[in-house]
Amino acid sequence: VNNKGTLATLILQNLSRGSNHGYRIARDIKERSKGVLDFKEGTLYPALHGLEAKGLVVSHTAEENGRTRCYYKLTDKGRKALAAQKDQWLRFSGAISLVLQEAP
Amino acid sequence: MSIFEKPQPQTLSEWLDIATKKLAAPTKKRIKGEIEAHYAQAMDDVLHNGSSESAASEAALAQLGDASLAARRFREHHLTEWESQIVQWSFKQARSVFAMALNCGIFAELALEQLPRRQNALIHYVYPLPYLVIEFLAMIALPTACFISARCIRRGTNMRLLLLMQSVSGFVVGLGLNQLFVRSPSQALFTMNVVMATFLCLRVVAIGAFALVVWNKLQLDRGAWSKPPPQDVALS
Repeated sequence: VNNKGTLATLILQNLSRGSNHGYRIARDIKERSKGVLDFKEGTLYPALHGLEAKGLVVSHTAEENGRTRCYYKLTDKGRKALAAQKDQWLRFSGAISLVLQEAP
Repeated sequence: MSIFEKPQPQTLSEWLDIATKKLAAPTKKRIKGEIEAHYAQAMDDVLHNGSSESAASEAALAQLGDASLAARRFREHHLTEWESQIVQWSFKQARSVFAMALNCGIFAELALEQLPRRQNALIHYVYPLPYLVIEFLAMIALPTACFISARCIRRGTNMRLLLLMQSVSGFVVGLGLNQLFVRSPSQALFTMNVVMATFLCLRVVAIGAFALVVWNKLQLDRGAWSKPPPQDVALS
């Protein structure tokens, strides 16, 4: 996973289903991609903080199983950014597929 | 292992030390809390599958990945200790009654130079009225806006705007502008004008560039400048 680009989109997509903390975001992405999108979890937090700096997500702390967790939630700006990034990605991947599926 | 290869952290504490290196203390504390909770849950999951504690610890640490890479990424989004100190110093300057009084005093002195009775003084200005207006903006209006913002709004202060205003205000800028407008009767004074003007430009560019570099970081570390960081943030 290219942490600087794709990971941010994957995080935004994950948060579009509701607020979540870093560990569960990482697990969800790995499970949904059936392990194909494997990344080191230490780089997930800088990506989350980067999204927060851009105002695409907001964070708050809450208790879960006796542990204080930092939850992230998508903002309206983040929702718009996700829609734009998804559109861009779908067009890009569609174009690549068209080229790769071309008969020899 | 090659001598150029960095030793990998063996414990979470070592990993956090590397990942949070050079960051400001409140940021270290936040990252430490998040990663520790993450690590503990990762260990729980591995232990749940029947692994030993040492294997679980090793797996959880391996899953975190390269601490140096994480450190670089964190520094892209958070204020470093050095940046945090500059921002705090800048905020302190904006709040300073002494700096405000100094600005007013120097402006008053410069304005008095323009009085008709002192027109036979050694220093004369090329454009007295525009000069006074610009000096008023640089030494009274903008510092007052910074002062009010830093004094009254505190944590809600727009530090980005404050830094940009500070880059073009204050007595250093005022004195630099003074040299730009002064009529130069001698070569020595002309040289001093050039030096002061260069210094003024460098100051404006340095603070302005700093404000732009930390622009996004200030959004994330909002309020970090208005309270001193904790003295001891041990990553144990």
